[in-house]
Amino acid sequence: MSAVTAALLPRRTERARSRPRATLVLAIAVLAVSLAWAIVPWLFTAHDPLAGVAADALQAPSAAHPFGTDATGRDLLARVIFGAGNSLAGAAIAVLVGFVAGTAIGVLAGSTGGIVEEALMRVVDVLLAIPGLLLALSVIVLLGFGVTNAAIAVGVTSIAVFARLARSQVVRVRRSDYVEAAFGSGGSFAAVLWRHVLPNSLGAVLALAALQFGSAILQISTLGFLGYGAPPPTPEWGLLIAESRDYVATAWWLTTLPGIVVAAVVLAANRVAAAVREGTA
Amino acid sequence: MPYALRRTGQAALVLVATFVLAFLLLHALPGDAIVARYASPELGLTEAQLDELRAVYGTDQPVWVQLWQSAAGFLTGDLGTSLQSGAQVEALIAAALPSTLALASLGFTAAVLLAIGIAVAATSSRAEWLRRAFRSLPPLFVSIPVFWLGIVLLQVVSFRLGLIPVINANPVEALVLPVLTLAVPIAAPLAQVLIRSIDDTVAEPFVAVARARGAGPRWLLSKEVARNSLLPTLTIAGVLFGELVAGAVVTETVFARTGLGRLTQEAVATRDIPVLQAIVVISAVGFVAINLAVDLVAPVIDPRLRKAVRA
Amino acid sequence: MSALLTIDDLAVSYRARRERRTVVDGVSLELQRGEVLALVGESGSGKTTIGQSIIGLLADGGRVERGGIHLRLAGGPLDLTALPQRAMQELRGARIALVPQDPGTSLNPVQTIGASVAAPLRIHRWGTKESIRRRVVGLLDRVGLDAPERRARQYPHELSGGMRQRALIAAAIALEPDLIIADEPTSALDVTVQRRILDLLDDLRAELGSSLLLITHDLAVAAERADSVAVLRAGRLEEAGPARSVLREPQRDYTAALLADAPALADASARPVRLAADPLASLTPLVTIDGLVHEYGTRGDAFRAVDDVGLTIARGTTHALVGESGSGKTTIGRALAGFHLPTAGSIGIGELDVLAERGSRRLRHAVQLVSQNPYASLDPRRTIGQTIGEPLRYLPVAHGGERDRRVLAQRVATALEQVALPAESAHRLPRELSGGQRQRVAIARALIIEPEVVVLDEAVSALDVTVQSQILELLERLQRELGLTYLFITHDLAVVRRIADTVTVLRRGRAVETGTAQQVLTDPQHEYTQALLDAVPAPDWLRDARRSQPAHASVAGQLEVAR
Repeated sequence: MSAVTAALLPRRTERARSRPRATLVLAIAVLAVSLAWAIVPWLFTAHDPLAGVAADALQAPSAAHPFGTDATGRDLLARVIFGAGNSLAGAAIAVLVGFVAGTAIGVLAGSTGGIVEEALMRVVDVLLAIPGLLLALSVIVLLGFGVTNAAIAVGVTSIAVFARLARSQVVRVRRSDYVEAAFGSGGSFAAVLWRHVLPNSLGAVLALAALQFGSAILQISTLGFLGYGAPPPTPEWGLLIAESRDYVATAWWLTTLPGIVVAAVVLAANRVAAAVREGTA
Repeated sequence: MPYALRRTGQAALVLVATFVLAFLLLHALPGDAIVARYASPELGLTEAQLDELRAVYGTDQPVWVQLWQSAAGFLTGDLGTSLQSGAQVEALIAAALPSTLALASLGFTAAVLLAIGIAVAATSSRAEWLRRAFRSLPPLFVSIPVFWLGIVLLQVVSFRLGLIPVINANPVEALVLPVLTLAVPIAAPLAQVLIRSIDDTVAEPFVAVARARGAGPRWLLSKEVARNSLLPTLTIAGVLFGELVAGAVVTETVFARTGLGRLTQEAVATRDIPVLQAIVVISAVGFVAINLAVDLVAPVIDPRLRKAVRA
Repeated sequence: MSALLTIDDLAVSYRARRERRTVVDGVSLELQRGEVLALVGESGSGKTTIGQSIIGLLADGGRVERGGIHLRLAGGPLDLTALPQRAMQELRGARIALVPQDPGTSLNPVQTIGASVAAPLRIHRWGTKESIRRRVVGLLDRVGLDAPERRARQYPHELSGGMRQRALIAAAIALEPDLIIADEPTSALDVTVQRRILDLLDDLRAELGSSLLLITHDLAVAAERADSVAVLRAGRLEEAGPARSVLREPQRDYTAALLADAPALADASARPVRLAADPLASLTPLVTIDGLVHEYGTRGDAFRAVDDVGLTIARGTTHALVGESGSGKTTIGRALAGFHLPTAGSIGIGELDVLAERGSRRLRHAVQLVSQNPYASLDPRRTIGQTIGEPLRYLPVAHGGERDRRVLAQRVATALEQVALPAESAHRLPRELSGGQRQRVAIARALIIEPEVVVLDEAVSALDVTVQSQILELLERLQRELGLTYLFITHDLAVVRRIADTVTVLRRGRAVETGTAQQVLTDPQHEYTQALLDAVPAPDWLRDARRSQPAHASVAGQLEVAR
């Protein structure tokens, strides 16, 4: 399509034009800070996330306590900072579980075809048929409560999505002219898979992994909020917000500020993922 | 074989497999459910009493016998007995269902309206800054924790502004905030898909041809773009159903409403396997039925699919 | 009489990465009422942009920098570049109509044909619902669709490409426009369909008294159909004037080069006959295909793509497989290259039984395939050097394979030299290369393991004429130097004339005619071959010229093709 007809089309301005790089820089900065919180939290706060000063209970944000304090006088910012480790590590585990298992299933199905593919994809259908949260809850009931188990549960729910994408990518690449040409040049199945099919199909899967990171943070915090993640008094983002519910009427900062942190980190992760996808497309 | 029949058969097969998976997943617990539930020292039950309980719940049978009994039960409407309350699971679900259905249907409707509004504004606003602003809404909505949104709404609307009473709200008032909370996570992916498929359709040559025939923006949107953008949107109906279920669990917990979501949350907290299994299977039925309906409706919207249907 | 359309010193620019690039620069043209003006040029010449400027729908980022576009209608002249959006909408589809390039994607897939054709009538509020319905049926009938009532109720996917283009033409003429812009209206269609569509456009234009702006890359189409021709190059007007004088006595070198490269108009004194008087009988053939049948689908509704086809190719010669889409030509080529197993028949290359050797090393040494699309056949993530060297890495060392990096790099360099690519392109990625360069890479990859036979599947069809000509030259040189045997698959008879020694004409899976290129192209026996030859565009004056001016070598050559 070269001619007037093609060019008549309003080009996809909003998508084609690279959005202001500023938002991407900001997103990377937000992620970098949260990562630093996760790795060396004590550098960012002088307060203890677990031990509170009873006299300081339920103080509104101030210079001493930028995020205020909770009912037992613990510094909320310290708890948010120390909570980053749990949330980010959990998200990383979740993405890893989904990526490894899903990609393995998808690549196997897409590259072998036939009855293996049929069987694997029906299993994926079944995984997909159970709504994500319920599947995660079932896994948690099976494994027990806890941060790691919640992360694994969230990972399990993304296996099907990874598998589908990986399979469709592999199938697409397998049908391409250059794969046919490689077979025509004498390439063996394994060599062609390694040299052509995998490099060209995993880009989109990696982009999905990036995208899943933000969503995993969100889902893990949801499980934490429901009380299936870390046990109190562990600082975990979902749990922090859950604990604040009793003070909704009196201490607005207890809910609002941790929630904004979670949303900002997820938003930043998604922004970076979008950039990764543009880069690999 | 007619397409509809074959497709229905496929759906039934997925359901059977899902049932088996759900059963095996939930019955693969270390030890058994009875021990998990009743063996705690403070109950002080003897081994003999536990055995008795096992016989009552049928957990002394081999797994495949239990699977068979469970399946037969589901087919006859007997979903088992709650380990927690001892009530029939179907009774618990029947009691919880109306409230959740009201919440879910209203939340879904609100989400659809919200999503269409965002998508149309994001693709056909005159000013570019306005289009950009609306385009950035779905990514923002996707990133907000639903439970947090519910609490913040409660905080602002009920406690700060005092618009909706926290206690003794009438049934309509009690629904407003939960419906809003539920609508956001469902509107977000819907709006994203709508915007993308409108973008893709607008880039199709036939839209350019329509412009060359003198069509204005309104004609383009209503006659050329709308129906073509609908199909990709329908395909995420199943995903939205999943969001709806997750949203119901969270929303009902936040607003302390009774319903299926609350029931689910409690079942997990107390490891009430029969209740959780029933909810999982019922949700899978919902998911499979929705996808089946989409596949059967798709040829009505897109004539190109009718050929495949006949073949 | 004044011109219907006058373009005056038009300049158009596009915004690309923060800078503006001028894509049309100072073009002035005139189109008389009731005449045909052909805008000719290669891709990137700006012909498309001029069409867009006229209809007021430049792509995003496009802007008319200077100049005017004047349309002289009954109510007085209008400057289209200065008209408000709303007024342009009134003109589009009513006074200026577009016949788009690709009928496959230009009709709304979820609308009936009737609704699509009715669209301009409804947009411009023409008549009542019932009168529109009758008008649509009348229009469909006028553009030659059978059973117009039924067609109006059908959906685009139920119609063939030619029928869809007819429907699009019906929509374009619905309001009897003064100006029809036809944008490569037949590029996506088979030649025999192309001829009928161009005839239809001609008839309608004459009937309505409209003017036609024909945008095309095909000089032969321009020569055959246009009153005047404008040749564009890189956004500037090279040459314009009456079709006859521009194409017969081009004033500019560029026009002359285009003419020389356009296979249909070239000095096509056929290729030198290199075969004995009766080549099919005298030589032991290298390639022998016998009783080939290929069915797709299963038992009940199997579709015979290839139906009992046999052919032979002598060593060192080129055999062309010619046919329209769906003729089975690609299926035969792929079977010869060992890519799929036919339902029945035998294929031999020398002593080698191709079907028994599928996937073997010996078959790879015997035959290689170069496919149509140079953009899809190279792995986007691997360098040119890696791609060309790959076949050697798969071969066992004992049989010419190579593992040593330095030797491999040397072999790749030699291969690049062979296809006339600079040595440093070994480190490039496919996206850094042009279409013609990519096709050279694909050829180098096919040749590096020194096969005897090369199957070229529409290997030059996706390329501009000048590039096409260069690739054909390369193929001829390689054949001379390496003694290669080609199976050349194409839909383009003009290319056949240039490169083939022998020809098989295919229609719906059957071979309707086989012979030397000379025989088949000058003295076709089968009526389908004749129809194919008739469909190749060629201007009347060239045909006439044959009788009056036999001195023109180019004319004589063309005529034989065109007859």
